[in-house]
Amino acid sequence: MTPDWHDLIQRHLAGACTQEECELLQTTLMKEEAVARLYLQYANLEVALEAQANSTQSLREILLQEPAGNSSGSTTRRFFGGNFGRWAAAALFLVFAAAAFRQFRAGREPRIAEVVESQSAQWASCSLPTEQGSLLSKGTLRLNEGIARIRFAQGAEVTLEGPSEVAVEAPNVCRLIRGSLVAHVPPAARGFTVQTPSATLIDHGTDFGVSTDSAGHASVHVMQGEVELLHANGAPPLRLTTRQMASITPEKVLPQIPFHPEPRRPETADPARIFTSEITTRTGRGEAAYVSEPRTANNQSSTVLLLKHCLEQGYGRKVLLRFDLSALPKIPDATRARLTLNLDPSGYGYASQGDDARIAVYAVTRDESDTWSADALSWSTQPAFDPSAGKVNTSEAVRVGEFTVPRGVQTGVFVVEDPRLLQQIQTDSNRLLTLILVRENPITVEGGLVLGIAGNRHPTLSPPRLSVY
Amino acid sequence: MTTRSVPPLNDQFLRLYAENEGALHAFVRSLLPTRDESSDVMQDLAVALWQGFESAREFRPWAFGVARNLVRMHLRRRARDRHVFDDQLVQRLADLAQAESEPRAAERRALECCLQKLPQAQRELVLGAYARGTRIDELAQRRGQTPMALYKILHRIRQALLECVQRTVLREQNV
Repeated sequence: MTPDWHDLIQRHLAGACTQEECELLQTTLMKEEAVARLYLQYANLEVALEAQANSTQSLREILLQEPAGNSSGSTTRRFFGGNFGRWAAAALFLVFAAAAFRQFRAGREPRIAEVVESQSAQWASCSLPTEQGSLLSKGTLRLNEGIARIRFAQGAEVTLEGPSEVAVEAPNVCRLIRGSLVAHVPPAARGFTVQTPSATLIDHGTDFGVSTDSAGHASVHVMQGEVELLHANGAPPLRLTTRQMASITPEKVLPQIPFHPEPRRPETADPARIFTSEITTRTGRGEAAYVSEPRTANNQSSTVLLLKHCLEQGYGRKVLLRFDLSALPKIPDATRARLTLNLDPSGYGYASQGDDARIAVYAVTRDESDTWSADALSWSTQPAFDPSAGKVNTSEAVRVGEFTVPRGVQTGVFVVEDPRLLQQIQTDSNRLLTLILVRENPITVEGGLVLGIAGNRHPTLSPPRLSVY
Repeated sequence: MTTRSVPPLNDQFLRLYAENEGALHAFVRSLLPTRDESSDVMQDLAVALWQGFESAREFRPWAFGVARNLVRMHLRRRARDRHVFDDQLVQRLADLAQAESEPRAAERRALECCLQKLPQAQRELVLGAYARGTRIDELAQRRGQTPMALYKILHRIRQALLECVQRTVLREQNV
């Protein structure tokens, strides 16, 4: 017996089919075009009835409305006519204001991507959900280990490799803050864009890989297809095609390099330029210490350097590091300098309390202030003193870098690589460099985490290290 | 010499979106078992299309592709729902919806006239049922009917409306 398709289709569109009916309908929709057409006609009727019942105008109808005092001309002419821009702007406003209001009322951002798959993934704290199948709005993902595949609304798929940090920006745009990803971009998602700290990659239907560090040293590797590379320096775009690679520095795109089947990551882009010179706060006259406000008397540590800035006064801590630059072998053509820190839990406060910690690094400029002794330091006698736990006296210190410790993270290696740091190292006259670390953004809730950085007496982790190459 | 300026990107987008909005909404609705869900996805779709719009690309196939992905993302959480179509069927419906977007647009235009041809009580009933916030069980209770009886009446009205719009479009084609 032939089923009553009108009835079955209507019940399917109302979500009221039985299992058997759904299966029958789906099989028939595949085989019989007349039934498929009837199904689409009913779906169309649903949408049209809803619009009629709620007096909602489609964008087309809004655009087709007659502007006051202009009653001549055909529909087509009006639609494409000179008033289009004005009506288009009004319509754009109406459509998107309505969408924004409904989303606001529903308490959600538009969903623009999805976590399709993850393998051995360990996530750091993220502003987005990370479970497989999670729908993502705009926000940041931080993958410590493993891999995760993200599908964007327009069809591009990105496989993220830990450790990596990526910001999901729009249905066809992401920003790789650090780490590596491989993108697969089907034709429909052409134009998929990956922003890195120093360059923007626009895909023209392809598979490509990109790795970057947070300072902007990156490498791009086109496996198939074509990628357009735009450097932040404004140079003309560079087109990379199948089996082409490019290396990028914060300043420029390096001359094209031949394809290599095992692309190197930016950190090891040139094996000849390994770190050739480094010292720690244990080298020579080096020192590592922290100073704390008076109310912290009981919460101290002999192995980690404590760092905190909270709204409630009296619990601030700042970290001071001294490097003996005279022990640093000279590299006349050094181009980079790095400060490396190992984080270790302090045992004070809750990691879940508060936001990401934005840490600023300052170099003390007054030579007399470099001779501090860890034992004699106090809150008010510290070099470049400022009463705020989040600041230093900038007439006695200059900023040489910054980094962010994501919310919830208490361990791991953090690196500051900055030209300002290199400049201070090269120009320091007494060859003693004092660095001060402060947490800039205060913790606004109770019980916030005290960050711990391995110091000179940590039993297993290396002390703060300065490298130049 | 006259020159023809290229319309700004906003205008191009709006014109293309306006031309395809109805077809996209009907397609999205065909893949989702409720009205509210299809409205949600349409909101996301408008934003996604606006953000990813490029004038050089053919709009309709691209927009249908984005709509498919958004529906797929939306349905992932309920993958075992019996009303969810497999990818092959979604593709088939997308192809057919794109190929026949003009007749569907004509049917939507014909609806208003067909609604006027309905007896007043039926017209008010069907528009009431589609008004935002209406629940069928509450409407049935107000009318002193069972929900099942109301569903059956609505089925008949929809079928009558569909047959009317089909006839109207056919007549327009033959004129």
